Amino acid sequence: MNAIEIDGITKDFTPGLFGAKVRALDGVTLRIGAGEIVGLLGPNGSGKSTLLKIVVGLLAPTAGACRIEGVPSGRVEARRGVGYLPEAPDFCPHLTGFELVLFHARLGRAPRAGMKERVEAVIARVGLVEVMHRRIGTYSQGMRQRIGLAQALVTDPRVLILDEPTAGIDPVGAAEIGAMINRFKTQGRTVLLSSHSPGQIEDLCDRVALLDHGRLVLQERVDELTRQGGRTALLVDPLPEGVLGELRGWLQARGVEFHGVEMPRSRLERVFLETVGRRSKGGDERS
Amino acid sequence: MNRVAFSLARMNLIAGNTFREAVRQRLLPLVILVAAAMTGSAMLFRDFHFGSSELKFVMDVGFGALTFFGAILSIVASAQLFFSEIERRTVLTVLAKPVWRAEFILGKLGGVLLLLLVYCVLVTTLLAGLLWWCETALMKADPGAFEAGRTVAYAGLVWCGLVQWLKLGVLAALTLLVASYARSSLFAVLAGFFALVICQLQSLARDYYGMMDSSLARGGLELLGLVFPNFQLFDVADRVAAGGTLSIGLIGGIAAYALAYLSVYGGLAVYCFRHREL
Amino acid sequence: MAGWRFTASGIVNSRAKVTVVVSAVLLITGAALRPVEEWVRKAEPHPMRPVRARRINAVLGQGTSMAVLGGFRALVADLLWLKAYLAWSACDLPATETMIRVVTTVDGRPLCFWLNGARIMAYDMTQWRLRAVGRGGAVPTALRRRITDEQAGMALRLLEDARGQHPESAAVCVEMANIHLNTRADPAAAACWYRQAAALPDAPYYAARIHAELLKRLGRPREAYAWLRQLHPTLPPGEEAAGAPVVLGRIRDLERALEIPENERYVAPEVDVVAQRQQKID
Repeated sequence: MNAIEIDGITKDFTPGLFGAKVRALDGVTLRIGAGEIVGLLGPNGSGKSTLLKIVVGLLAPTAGACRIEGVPSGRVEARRGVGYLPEAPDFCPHLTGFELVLFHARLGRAPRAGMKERVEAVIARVGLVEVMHRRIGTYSQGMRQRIGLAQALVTDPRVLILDEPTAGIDPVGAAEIGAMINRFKTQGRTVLLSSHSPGQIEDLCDRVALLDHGRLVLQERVDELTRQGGRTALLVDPLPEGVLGELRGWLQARGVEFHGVEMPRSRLERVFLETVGRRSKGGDERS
Repeated sequence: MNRVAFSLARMNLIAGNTFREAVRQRLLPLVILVAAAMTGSAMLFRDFHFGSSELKFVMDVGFGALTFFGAILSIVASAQLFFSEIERRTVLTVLAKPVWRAEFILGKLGGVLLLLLVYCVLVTTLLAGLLWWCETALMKADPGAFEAGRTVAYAGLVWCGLVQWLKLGVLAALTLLVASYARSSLFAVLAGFFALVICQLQSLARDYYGMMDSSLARGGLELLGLVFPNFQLFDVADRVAAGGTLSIGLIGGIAAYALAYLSVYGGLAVYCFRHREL
Repeated sequence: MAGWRFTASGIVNSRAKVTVVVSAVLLITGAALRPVEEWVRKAEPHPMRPVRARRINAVLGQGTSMAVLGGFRALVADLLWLKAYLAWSACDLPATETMIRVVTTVDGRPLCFWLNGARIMAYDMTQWRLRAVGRGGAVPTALRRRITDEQAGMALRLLEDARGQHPESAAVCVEMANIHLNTRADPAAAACWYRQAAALPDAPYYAARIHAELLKRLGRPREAYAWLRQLHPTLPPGEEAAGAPVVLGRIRDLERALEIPENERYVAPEVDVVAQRQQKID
């Protein structure tokens, strides 16, 4: 059984009582298998958040149907096994991180026995255990996002819906959240996340669904899309011109066509992660 | 598949969270402080009370503060605590759990009612203490005037506080109904104050349309008048200040009236919220 | 589709439907609860008459909104009374009249606002107007009469309103009687109001005595005699203010004047017996 089934979802919004209809989604159909990580990719306003809200049951579609583990997502029962992180949530600044996650644990009908320990464990998993008794108002953006992830995880959901989980977070924080999402796959959870960053989808997801102006224009496995057809690249230390000439001759002698030589530059993001990430493990707890 | 039933426990959880948020936002302490200052200031003004006796004057000012600042608290808290969830998108995280929208709205209403109860209890207690202190001082100064014992009906005072809580509760439910339909908190707050004025002046409005010549206009206004409760029914402080008593029948009647409106407004707020796009 | 809260018919229809349903339920609720409201109101009438539209129309915009909306009536009324006093000390007739009406509308509970307001209207304002008209000289009698009558009428109308608020107050009736007597020189109307005052629980003893005196003045001594006869036994003998001996003295005067036969004369309980004994000894 698919974890999430989206069948021909169309969504129209009508601003005000008599405004003209705006179509946010147009006949989107998508199947997501259990344990799969799927990324919704698209520019701003392409309908990613609307689709995720329909999947969670927060919005009703104008047409079409959506089911989570076989249950229509408009029903309260469908949300039993779902964890949801909306885009840039701004949790009540007067609550502590612990209070917030405990509140959501209770709402999500988490077992009463050992609830506090469970909450602490989830907070530890998102790396905020040292600040969990501090008010959220004192948290950085990254910490807020991580406490949001904790509230989504606290009921141990089988399906996670994450709307721009790394929006507004620095690369270190984004990498940590990325690592967390990768772990969900090993735990057998299904993840549907949205992003407007192709790099992030490429790094995290098994499959990508590309939305544009409310239409699903492409859905494919990420490795299929990113595979460079029939070519091999070798990365070695810098070679002098003479050695390069010898290498070219050696390849030609074996019938291998030589396409060219590039001097790849280091990705700035990787430099940043290697430099800053190494120095500040768990980075923004101290911010 | 097991159905998720409506849960009072989850509703209470949301109510408790709403109350905690209101207290930590310093909304309640601030309003209590201002109301207490106003009540206390009656002691400063009591030397120039012309008409009523000193104790009646203090009681009048105290209940004036309770009602006036209570109305502000009721409207602002209902609108603000609802819209803060919408604007911060935290309502999405709550409703993404197996939570009914009815549990959310009624939980919000419960939290505001709890907030108003705490407010009414604190201000009424403060007023009772002030009156006791003032009456004791008067008894020492003029024992002859108090031969029959204390003149303030303290039990009546407690009932007055309870009735004011019911009135503020109805106002909170009405504001929440508007908020569940409205698009901005400013609109909900303004509509709440507008409704307060209409509810308070219901008797006057009925006088007005009673005097109208056009039966069409009179009928239209009468219909409009039906939409709002009559808050003059809750003005029992005058009875106590005038030396009257509050019978169980009267309090029961007022409570039934208030609870009926609370239920209808609460139910309609749930209905509107179920149809709201988040 | 099961579970969805609204259909594919669109948001316009949905919001319109919500609006219609909410309005209908509110109307039905209002209609259903109107009898409950009436029952509560009639079960125990409010000791204080609510502010009426006719009166509030004239006073809104005087800073009274807060008081009318249910709070601080005493405080606002006191502040406004100070304002009325300032207008009174400047002999500003329109301002004083307006402020008196505002004060009594905002808080009609204290009697002193009504009584002092009526006195200002009946006596002080008459003098202000006469001074203004006469400019230091004499005012023609007809004009004087008219002004006095108008001011008395104004004061009496205010006191009529006061009676609506305080139907059991003898002080209001006494004040009406005083105005009839002092400004309109109408002892018949005054006698009538003193009689009404005397029938009320908190009536001063003198109201009943003045009623009898006015009946005498009106040439109705028999009515005065009958009134005093039924009044005297009700007076507490030990209380000076009740004036039981004074009333008895007036009864005796009337008996002599009316030549009431000895056997029909009033026999006062105990106190009168003591007085007769005293007379015999003398």
